[in-house]
Amino acid sequence: MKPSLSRRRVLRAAGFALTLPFLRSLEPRAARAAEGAAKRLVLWYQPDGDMEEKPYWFPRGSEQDFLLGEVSGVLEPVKQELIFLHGVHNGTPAGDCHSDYMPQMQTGGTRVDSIDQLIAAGLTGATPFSSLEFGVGTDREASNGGRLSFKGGVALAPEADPNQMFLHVFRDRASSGGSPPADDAQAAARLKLLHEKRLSILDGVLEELGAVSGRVGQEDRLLLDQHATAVRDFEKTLSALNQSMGEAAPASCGMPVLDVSALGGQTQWHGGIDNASVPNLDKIAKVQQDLLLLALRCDMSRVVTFMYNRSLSSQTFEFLPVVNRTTISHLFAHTWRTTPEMESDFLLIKKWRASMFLQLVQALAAIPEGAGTMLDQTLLVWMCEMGLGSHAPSNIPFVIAGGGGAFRTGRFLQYGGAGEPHQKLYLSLAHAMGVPLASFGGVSEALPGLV
Amino acid sequence: MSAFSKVGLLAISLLGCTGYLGGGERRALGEGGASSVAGSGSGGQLPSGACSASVPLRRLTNFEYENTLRDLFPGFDLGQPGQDVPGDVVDHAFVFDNRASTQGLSATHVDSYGQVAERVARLVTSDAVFTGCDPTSGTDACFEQFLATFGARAFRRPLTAEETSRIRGTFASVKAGLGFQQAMQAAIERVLQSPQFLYRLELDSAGAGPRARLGTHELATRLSYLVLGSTPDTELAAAAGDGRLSDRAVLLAEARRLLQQDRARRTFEHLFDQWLGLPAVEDTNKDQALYPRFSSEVARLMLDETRTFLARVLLEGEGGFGRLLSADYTFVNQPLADYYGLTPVPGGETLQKVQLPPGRGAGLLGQGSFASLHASDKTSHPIKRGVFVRTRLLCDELPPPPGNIPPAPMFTGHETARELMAKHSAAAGCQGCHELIDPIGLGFENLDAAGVWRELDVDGLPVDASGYVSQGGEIEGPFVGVAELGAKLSGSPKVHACMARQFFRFSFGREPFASDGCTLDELTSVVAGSGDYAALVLRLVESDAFQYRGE
Repeated sequence: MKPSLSRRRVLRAAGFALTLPFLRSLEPRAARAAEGAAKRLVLWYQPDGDMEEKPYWFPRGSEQDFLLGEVSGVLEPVKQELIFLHGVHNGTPAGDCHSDYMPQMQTGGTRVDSIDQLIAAGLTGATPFSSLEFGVGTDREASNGGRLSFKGGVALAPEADPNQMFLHVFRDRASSGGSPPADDAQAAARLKLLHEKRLSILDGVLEELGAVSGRVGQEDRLLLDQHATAVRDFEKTLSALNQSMGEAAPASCGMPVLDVSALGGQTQWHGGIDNASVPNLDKIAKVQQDLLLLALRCDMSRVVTFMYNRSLSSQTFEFLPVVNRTTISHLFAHTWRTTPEMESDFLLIKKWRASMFLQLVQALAAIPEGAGTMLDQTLLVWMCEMGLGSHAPSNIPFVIAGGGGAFRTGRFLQYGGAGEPHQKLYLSLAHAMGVPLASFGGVSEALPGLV
Repeated sequence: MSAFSKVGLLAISLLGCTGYLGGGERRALGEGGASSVAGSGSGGQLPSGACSASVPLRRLTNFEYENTLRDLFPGFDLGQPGQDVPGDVVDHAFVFDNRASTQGLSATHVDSYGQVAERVARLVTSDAVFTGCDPTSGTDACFEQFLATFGARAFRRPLTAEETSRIRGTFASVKAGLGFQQAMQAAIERVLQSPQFLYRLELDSAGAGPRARLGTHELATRLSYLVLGSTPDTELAAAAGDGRLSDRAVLLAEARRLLQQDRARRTFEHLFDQWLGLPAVEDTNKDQALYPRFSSEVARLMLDETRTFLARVLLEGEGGFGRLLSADYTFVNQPLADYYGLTPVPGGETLQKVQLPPGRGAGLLGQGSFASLHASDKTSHPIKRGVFVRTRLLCDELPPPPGNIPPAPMFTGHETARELMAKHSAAAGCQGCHELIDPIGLGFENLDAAGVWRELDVDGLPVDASGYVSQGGEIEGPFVGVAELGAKLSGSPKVHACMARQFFRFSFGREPFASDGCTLDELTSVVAGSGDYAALVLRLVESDAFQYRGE
């Protein structure tokens, strides 16, 4: 054992030396709990649950001493940064599994505000964006059943095109190559006036919405009220961006650059449930995760939802060495057990997604923040709307990475008996983020054993 | 007595009152003129109990938003502004992109509407021919003139004094700091982000109350978005402005005029693309080992085939709604005829009408687009096909599949779809719903997963395309193959009512209520009488539900 090895170095090295994680696992995992609330939350979603009755995902063993399965084993290098959960159920399943479980679960059945938005609303330190929603192969037009984030009943669609997302997050900084174009006083003054112009137009829109709102029926008013909320939210974003114009970005941010060279010529970013499959999904995923890291490094937001396709997706996986190159995601979820080829294909798909999660954990652990790394202050949650692709809402393969200083990691928590509803976990996430949410989805207790 | 006959009589007597049945005699009603924001109203009030429909507040869909911008700023290269805004919510059950209750905005919408407005405003203010004002030396008077014209087109009615004053305020404050062109831009940006532009507001400015006739500007807007998916053109706006549109005959004549435009076809395609889910055909992948001849080019031709078929049948007099599910002909060019194995047609790209062999005529249900869309990459998919018939053609609401369903059986090259379905649906708890779905879907078994007609199934077995409709009212019972199914569906009152319902959803942006039965009956009678698309649109336009405010 080499005490001089910093965690960061281990994590960087882990991908190259398979024995190091084992050494790592012998290290005592002193509780970092109670160091303070977690700083940021990333909900990382992949669809259609897991291959439950095969020992591919859930670990075997005890809380501290457990072995990973073939899919979860991809995460072996960062095992000590993770908490695996067994026995946590979708506590608010209703309606159609594929088109309702996602919004049902994230909103605790209300379909009004999702957990990420409730947490974002409770955070005090203002970042330019109260939340960001990334997509990989997500649909452009979808029913609300294809969405995870909701604010006031309005679905927040994920952005699946990294180019658009980059402009969305970095705006003026993106177009001016990093630093705000405030070189000379005149240009700066003009920029300020342009920002004021934008805000004054939005104020005008608010005024008009107010004037019209009193003259329509109740249901119509809801639309106008949602619009007014959206304008106010965006005004906050604009103001925060304007304020930061003159200020230095966080040291870890540097110059925002997006490398999309791997995606030259890509025109299709959006998938769907009606046969649409996105080519180069693996490359897009990589770029979007890089962009996620960049946005976090620059502290553009502290609440992120990151979504791989969706339930019922028509995505194909020809970028992996699968036998069934034209078989879609949804069909895999239902038929992977029927032939050896289907099963090995589905394993490849699941392991690929796990490897993307691994990359994210390792990347966060490689970025210094405070006395430790960014991972230390982040709650990164692997989530899913089902336990199994065959519509089972039970036993969702949740994983929490990082722990955000609030949860002890390197553990496998098993909830026996009837298990626990996911609302408890989400309540725990809110509390760990310092948001004193009293209840979620009709449940007011946190999940035991996390802290 | 059905709701239709009762209300039908009522509607006819009302039409008689306005002189429409007398052959287009015009009546100048109200004062009209550009000074009235609502336009002329005063078509009177519907008697209580007459057929009316409430119309929800609707935000422009992305389709309408883009069309509207193109029509407001003709000749400019605007890019694809509809794609720059987050996608519309498309409810599975509702099918269309304009369900009003799902049109709530997010901050990202606000942001993108602003960015599009900035881009468009920058582009058009640099063109003095368009604005009438020199970008650098324009005067306030010039701006005022531009605002009056542009504002009225964007808000689809003249601006109120208060609105003019507000926008003038934005113009003046920006001009002080950033100059004339930026101030013009700001004014345009403000208009393009205004709720008056983004929503189709039908505010009752005149205080006419429920069941009052709409003002002429409101009528023009309803008509234009219904037929063109866009803002009223100059002619229609003029008929609204001088009050002529309050005459039912003028309204109908305007509807006929708009239906003739190319832009009307765009809306027609938008409706059917969504209803039938057609564009997804182009995204279809097939296992190349099993279907080596299927390609994206074939898929594109299949989409062309169906679109051509729909246009010929529903726009160009080839039989109307009655032929939609029963036509014994289709439209193919040489490559597509070869692909299907039909009688060769002369070379060239153009699709031509061909007669189908006996037993294969089922309108769009027999076409490759339908069959290959509702299939997996390897096999036909009776569930998808059955669900389409149930939900899109019969408007049935199917209960959701249960949790913990057993694994679907896998096709290994030797199982017929019928065998696979029997295994899959046999489990307890599955049979109830699948009984509604599978027997219909199995009737399509002559169409393989890539849309080609087959007489032989796996391992050389003859295709068994027998099926039956359960819980289908008049069409309940057995059938064999798509032609028999198509004939059943074509004659089904339930299908007629469903087609009317789909059109109602598309037209009103909501599900019909019980009180909309009268409107639905009107529309259903057009479908049942094998009318065409124009007849359906015109029947709606002449209805009271279209012309009057709801309760």
